[in-house]
Amino acid sequence: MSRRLIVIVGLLLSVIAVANVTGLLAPFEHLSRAIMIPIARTFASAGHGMGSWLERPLEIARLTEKNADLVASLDSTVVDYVRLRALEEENRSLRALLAFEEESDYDFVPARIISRSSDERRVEVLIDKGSRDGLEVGMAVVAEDGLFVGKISELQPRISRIILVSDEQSRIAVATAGRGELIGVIEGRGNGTANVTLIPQQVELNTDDIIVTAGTEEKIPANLPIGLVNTVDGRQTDPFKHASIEPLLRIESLNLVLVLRSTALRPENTNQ
Amino acid sequence: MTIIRIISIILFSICIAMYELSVAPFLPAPWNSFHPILGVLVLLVAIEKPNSAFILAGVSGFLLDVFSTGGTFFAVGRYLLLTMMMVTLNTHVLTNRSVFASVTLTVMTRVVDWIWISTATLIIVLLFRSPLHVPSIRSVGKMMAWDVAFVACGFVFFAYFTKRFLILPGTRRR
Repeated sequence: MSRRLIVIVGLLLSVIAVANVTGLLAPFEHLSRAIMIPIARTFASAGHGMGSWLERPLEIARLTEKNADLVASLDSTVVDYVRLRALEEENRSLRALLAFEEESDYDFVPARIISRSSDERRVEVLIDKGSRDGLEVGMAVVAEDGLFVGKISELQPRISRIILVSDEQSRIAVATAGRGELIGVIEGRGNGTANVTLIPQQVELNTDDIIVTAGTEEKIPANLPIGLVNTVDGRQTDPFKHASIEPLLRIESLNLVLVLRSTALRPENTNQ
Repeated sequence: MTIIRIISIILFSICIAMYELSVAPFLPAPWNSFHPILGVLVLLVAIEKPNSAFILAGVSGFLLDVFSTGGTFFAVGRYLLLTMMMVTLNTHVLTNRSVFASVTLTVMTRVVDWIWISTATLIIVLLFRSPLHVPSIRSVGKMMAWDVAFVACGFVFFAYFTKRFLILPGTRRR
């Protein structure tokens, strides 16, 4: 390699390193993001398409197995369904009586996932919305069907990083659906699984209970479904027990998400 | 090097960086372990296009830094230094142009790349007590398997269609 080329590359590296450390590259990076986001969206859509096409044979095998399980559990579900319908009717009439008005303090900001971590222990994704859209660190992110995805961990003007429930760094206060009381903290374990820890011994928790957000964090509302209890472990003599959770969300099929933004943070409200 | 060629390489670099960032992570295993940037860099160096390799390293490394979900650790610098290392090895050590030399270069590059990322991660963990992870040997092994297959096939195709590295009776190899 010619000495000239070594000198040029060395100089280029030094300039980039200095510009990176001093923040001189930041405007250039913002500009690049602005230009590249539509291209990233197109590539991400293509990636999702290719991914679902390549996963089809595996999906068929998985669905066949799941179908057999579902058929087996259908009979017992019918009984529950009838009971739930009766409760639903009762709930509806009670709401009508109380003239209940459901008011939500949150907007749903739709965003597309443009990249995600390829390390199986780091469960985080990048979305194409950022601080320009009124987003803030800590806001909750849900899937299209309302399942809790995670929360914003890092923000740029046009993109945000979302840390998912199963990431090893994720910690969210949780409750059991229907009871509302805080039961513990859900901690990610990587590879798509999570544990609820710090559950007091006196709290009753059973297999297949639905775990939801507790709503103790300012920007994460209560009752966003997270997963089902798989097993509950811990000796009677321990102050706390723990449970392994099967998240309801399938990360592989995640393409579009909704960020829950407080109505007070709408860009038109903040500009006033 | 003509302007058209430089623009073509920049566009190609954008495409493979975007593939690595926005397509590969959404694919199921084993397809998601195919990270083509290093493989393409090795091929460009092996077929003696160092200038193209440096452009590709700069552009794709910059895009990885801008868009990555963390853990790239100054990818632009890493790729430029790796390319410099490859060009030096290719000029002074692995002077024989063959599939075997290219594969050796590929394995060395991936190992050096892993050492860089692991060292940077360990420094960050020690300095900031941040719970980061060193990429596992298993995931690096999967990437390396793809790299080796990609570089070997790419080199064979290039050699077959261009006849560039053929040694014929009465001719001298380049």
